[in-house]
Amino acid sequence: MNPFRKELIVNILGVFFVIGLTIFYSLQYKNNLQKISPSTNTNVNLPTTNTPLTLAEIQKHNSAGDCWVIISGNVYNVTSYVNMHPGGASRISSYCGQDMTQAFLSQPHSSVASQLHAEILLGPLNGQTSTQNIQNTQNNLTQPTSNNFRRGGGDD
Amino acid sequence: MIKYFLLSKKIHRFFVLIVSSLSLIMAFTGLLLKYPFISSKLNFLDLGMIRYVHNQLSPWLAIALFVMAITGIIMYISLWPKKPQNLPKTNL
Repeated sequence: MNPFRKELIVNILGVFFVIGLTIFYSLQYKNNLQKISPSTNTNVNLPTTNTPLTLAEIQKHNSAGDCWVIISGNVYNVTSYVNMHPGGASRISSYCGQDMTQAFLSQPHSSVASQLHAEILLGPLNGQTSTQNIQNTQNNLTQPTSNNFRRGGGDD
Repeated sequence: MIKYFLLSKKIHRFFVLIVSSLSLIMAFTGLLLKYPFISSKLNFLDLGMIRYVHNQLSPWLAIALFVMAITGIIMYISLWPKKPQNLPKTNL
């Protein structure tokens, strides 16, 4: 085969690889999004309305495979979202079973993140109203004391 | 040395195309992320998906760019002008 032709074919394959990679990641995102959606997710054990979302209950879900977190007094099941986080899985997995309000609010988040929150929300912690908790958290944020206040490049 | 030069050139040419195509996608997605009002006009674009694709493609671009840079340096060094030796002496 003509070497020029051979090189051309290899280069075209390279470009197709890049296009394929983009399509693959787009489909992977859509697939992950479907997993997160509570209507299609059968693996998530959602608590019944009678089950109180206590701190002890949330602390049981402290692994990347079963991860619940508290943000602004609301409890979220982020198990399916851990690997989708743009800043890396460790951004969330290190907070599994804990309150990550400070870490969440210290970084700018997009409207997409808010949308996702609505989909993975389990309910308010201990049945408290979320607005009360948000206010409490914002008051606490004015006096940061936590050692696990994380900084980094994650944009979601 | 010419052997390394030719091999580097071949790899470099391939990665130029990879980096170019990746850069186009990265630039487009990056622009949409920087200016969300563009994607708000294009309803078929999901900003979350764009962010995810941009995030996932960035390591590939970094690797391709690294290989391209390395082969570029090899090409440059391999053609480093050598000190002329054993040249016939002239009276000029």
